[in-house]
Amino acid sequence: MISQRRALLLGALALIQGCATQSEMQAAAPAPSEGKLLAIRVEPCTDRTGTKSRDLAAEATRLIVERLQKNPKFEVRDDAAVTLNCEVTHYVEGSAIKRWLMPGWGSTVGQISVMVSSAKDHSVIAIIQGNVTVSAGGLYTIGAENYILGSAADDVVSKLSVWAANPAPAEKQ
Amino acid sequence: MTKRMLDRLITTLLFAFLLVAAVPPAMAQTTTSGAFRNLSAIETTLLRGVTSKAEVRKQLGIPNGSGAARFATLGGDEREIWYYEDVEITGAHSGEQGMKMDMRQQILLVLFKGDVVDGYLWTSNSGALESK
Repeated sequence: MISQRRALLLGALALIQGCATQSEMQAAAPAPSEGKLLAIRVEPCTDRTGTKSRDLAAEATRLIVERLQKNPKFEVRDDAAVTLNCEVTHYVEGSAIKRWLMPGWGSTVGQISVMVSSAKDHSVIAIIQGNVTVSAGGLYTIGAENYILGSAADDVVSKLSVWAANPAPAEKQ
Repeated sequence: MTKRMLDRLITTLLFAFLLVAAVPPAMAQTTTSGAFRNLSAIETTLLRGVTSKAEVRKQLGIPNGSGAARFATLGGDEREIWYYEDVEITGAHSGEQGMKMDMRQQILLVLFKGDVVDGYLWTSNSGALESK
């Protein structure tokens, strides 16, 4: 015998959504203040996940370039004094049905790591890691695997933006 | 909502649960926190005075951290340091006293003089740690 309360609980469970962003940033030096815009050269990303169903490296490169171009603080240029290298370090497609049945099961995960270095001597200026997880939610989280890398790229570029706007010592980041 | 509808909903949910549970998980057997995994390749990958930063990044990935230090024993010159870590769950087994997990933790420090490798330090608990 199933009570109405249990049915309501199941309904509420279906509507719960959980999307978490976890990022890390380590800045070894303030952003170069050569002008209003911070010019960055973006190297093609590398996929470290071994995913064969999608070209994650190309997707991550496109997403990072798009986000940087949209941000008024950056300028993507090949002759820039700062180089950005990126990698897709974690990707799990997950399953919306599993998330719907049990939060935490079937999580969709996307993680992008970025290293900003000097084009002159290749010394590391900043390392940023953007990690986004959709661990719970209803069936409307179907397709999370399509936007998860974009969310990770958003996170990385927002951290870069803070770094570029506030050339403070590394300890204050 | 009638009892019949509720029963049908529960049956559908159970069926979906069994269907999804029957599909093998897409996740890898191991869980790791970084790109640096293979210690055996370090001696052939990191050659002092030869291997460049770009080559290290290509082989081991973007480091988890970086910094610099001056070593009195190396003449007091500054060395850039890249830090790599790898925490990996290599297995999980259910035993009589609960779940047992095998975990491996590795740390690697790569020292650079200018753009080339000047040395490295590493540690690993491979095969030494088991947690319950």
